[in-house]
Amino acid sequence: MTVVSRLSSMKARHLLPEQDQREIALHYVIGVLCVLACLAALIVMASDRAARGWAREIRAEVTVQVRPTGLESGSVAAARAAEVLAGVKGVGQVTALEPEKAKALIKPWLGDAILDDLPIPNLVSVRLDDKAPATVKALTDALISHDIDASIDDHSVWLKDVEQSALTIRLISIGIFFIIFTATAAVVGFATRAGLTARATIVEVLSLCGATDLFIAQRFQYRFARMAFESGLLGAAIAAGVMAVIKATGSSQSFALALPFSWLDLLILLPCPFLVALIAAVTARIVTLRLLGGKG
Amino acid sequence: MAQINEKKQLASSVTGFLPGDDAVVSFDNVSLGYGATSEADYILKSLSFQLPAGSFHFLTGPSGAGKTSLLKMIYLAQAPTSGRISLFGETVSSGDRAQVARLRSKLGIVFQEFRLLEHLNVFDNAALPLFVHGQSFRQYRDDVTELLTWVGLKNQLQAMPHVLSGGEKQRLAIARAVVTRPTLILADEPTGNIDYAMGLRIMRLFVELNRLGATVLIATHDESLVRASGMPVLELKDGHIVRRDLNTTVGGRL
Ligand SMILES: Nc1ncnc2c1ncn2[C@@H]1O[C@H](COP(=O)(O)OP(=O)(O)O)[C@@H](O)[C@H]1O
Ligand SMILES: [Mg+2]
Repeated sequence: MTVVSRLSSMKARHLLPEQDQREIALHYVIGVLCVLACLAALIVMASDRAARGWAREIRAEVTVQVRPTGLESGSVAAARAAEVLAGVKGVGQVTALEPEKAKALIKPWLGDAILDDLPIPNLVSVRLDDKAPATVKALTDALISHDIDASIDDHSVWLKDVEQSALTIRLISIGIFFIIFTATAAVVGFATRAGLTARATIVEVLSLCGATDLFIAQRFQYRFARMAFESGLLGAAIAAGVMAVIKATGSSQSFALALPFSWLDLLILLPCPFLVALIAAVTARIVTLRLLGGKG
Repeated sequence: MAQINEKKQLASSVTGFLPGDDAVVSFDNVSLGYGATSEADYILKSLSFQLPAGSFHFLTGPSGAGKTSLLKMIYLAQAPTSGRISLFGETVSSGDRAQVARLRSKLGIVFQEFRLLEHLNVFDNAALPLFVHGQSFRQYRDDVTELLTWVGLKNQLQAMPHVLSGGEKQRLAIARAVVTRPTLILADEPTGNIDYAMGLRIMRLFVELNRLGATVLIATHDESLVRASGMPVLELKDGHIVRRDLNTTVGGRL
């Protein structure tokens, strides 16, 4: 009985012999697809966070352009408007942007000569309260009641722009996910077909031993699910590594501004191996059943 | 169990045929052409016969007579050109994959070319049909070991098929075919690669399984073995059954 005790029980996956060359290629392709999918997911997370941050900034600020009336000079009118606005409920800091400062800002581009004649608008920058921001109407009413002619820009055009960009990035990512998942399914389907052909004799022997199509399909299903899971794990790890390197080195400020990664984002990578395993399993099963049933 | 089988064998020894629903294999005007257009060129021509439950037959005939083809039709690897085949009282319908799997699980087949799985060891090859039917290693370990001991492969349980001799492969193929205690055993030249003594031993295994209730059909062109066994013969020639012994000598001289 010593011989028997040395025997290992036949594992389901041993029924299909490994095919190293072919499988390394499949591992590689699925791995690459997973890296791409994971990076896309991380980028969506980060760009969404960036967009939300910008939107918050934009929403928190209102610019008021004051038009001086009668004898009042521009800067006096702006100062008066700033005083009025500061008294409105829900308004934080108010700053009248002085024309000299504005000129100084433009000077490098336009030069001294033109600058003197250039009408510089009188601007007041209004920082709104984070929790209970004042409405544009409240600001307008306050200005009107003090006979100040002004127009208020709540930056809604910019806001729309930012929101539009965020939406576009999200849509593009969904498109990328869709392409990657269908590509995964296609490559697994192709590999299943090849695997079935390469192991035709084994499949036939199993069938002659009374195996159902489902039993055979399950062998391929488990085989490819396992393979995809391993590749998915590796792909997610590589994507996480890429993100870690970007975040840790912090090489470029603007990069961090555009894609503010957070370590928590890595959680979104967790489902990746399971998702590709599922796609691979379903594809392998369907393809095997179709081919065995003579419908391929 | 033994009594019932004896009864069946007695019945079949008297009549040669049992009522239709007791036939394990039933051919009704079955022809096989392999693409031949003219019926004169068919390999098998309008065969009608039944194998009663518990019967034992040698399928003989010269090389190329269609023995393998006939077995293939029985194990559903080859569809007939025309005619109707029934197994275990169930009419075979083409394209019904579930039926194929269901019927095949009652068969034990020894292929002329063995068809062992080269990547599995001797033990796993023999256990394959049990594994396919969902049995666990614990469940089949002892049975498989005992069977392999019986066919003389006790010391090669973990060997891979490619290191086995022709005779050893044949014995492994036979072990795999009978490991499920099938209702119908089909063997294609099962003694082709083994010496006379081992051939007789293997034949005795088939006869023993037949005594336990299995219906057995063995294709062979080994006339001396057939004669020595004294078992009934179904002989093919020119596409027809030219000899059909009734099951009168069950047990024969084996
Ligand atoms: N798949 C096939 N396609 C076409 N002809 C075949 C095929 N298999 C066997 N044959 C032919 O059918 C005839 C019977 O073959 P076979 O059944 O193997 O005979 P046996 O087993 O009695 O030697 C032979 O002439 C053989 O060439
Ligand atoms: Mg033959």
